[in-house]
Amino acid sequence: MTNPEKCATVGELIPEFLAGRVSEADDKMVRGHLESCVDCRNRANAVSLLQQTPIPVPDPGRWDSFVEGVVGATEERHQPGPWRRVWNKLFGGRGPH
Amino acid sequence: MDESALIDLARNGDRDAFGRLVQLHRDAVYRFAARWLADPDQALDVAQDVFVRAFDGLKNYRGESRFRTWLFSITLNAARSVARSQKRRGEIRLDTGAEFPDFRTPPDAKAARADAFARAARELAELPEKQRGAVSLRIYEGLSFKEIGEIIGCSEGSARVNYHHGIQKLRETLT
Repeated sequence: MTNPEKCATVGELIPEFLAGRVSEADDKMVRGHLESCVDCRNRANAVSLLQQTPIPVPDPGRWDSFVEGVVGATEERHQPGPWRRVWNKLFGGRGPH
Repeated sequence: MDESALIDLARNGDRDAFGRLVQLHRDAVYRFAARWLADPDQALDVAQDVFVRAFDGLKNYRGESRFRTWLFSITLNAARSVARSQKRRGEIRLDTGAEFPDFRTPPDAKAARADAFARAARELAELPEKQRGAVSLRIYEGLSFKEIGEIIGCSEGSARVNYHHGIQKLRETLT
């Protein structure tokens, strides 16, 4: 039998329930509800399928150098541009006003 | 050193501290982008862009939300923008599932499983953006509706409604 309030509560707990991250009391409540509610069981099946869907695997070389790449990119962005480098050379790094 | 100390150091230009923050959140940012885009190369590009933008924007990060929540909102904007330009060019890839060969499963079952995963990813991608965001952030990242609302740009109540509507549509299409 469908109970909209219970279905909403269970619907919100399904991801954590499937991941085994709910309290014992919630686990018991969700299990009990899923046994009697076909709609929520179908929702749980859909969420379970999505949770098992694999994540595309990154290229190992790019993945391993990811942190260095990001830090390097922030450094590059904060390097002075060519005109600024000429200015710094001429005026010793004093900013134009 | 805890995360807030690393953030303070990174805000003052300490790139080692920022590198440690990247290390801490790299998996989550990549995972979110990769699920959104279904393309590992594009997801890595987006993840890199997210962290570079985060470094530039650290001075504006006030710590009102969790650092990861803030990163997710940057990721969502970046991934959405890539997905939209991809859509305009008609290049949508939804081949998620083909990259994890499981040799214990018979070929037919393996193919059926890969089909089911691809279909699930496609149906999730078909949801309106806010529903998709709410469902993804809830089922993959376990975020609260308050955090989801901050990321997708709506109230906690609206994030909850978007999640329920999204799950309802997925129930109808996937079961």
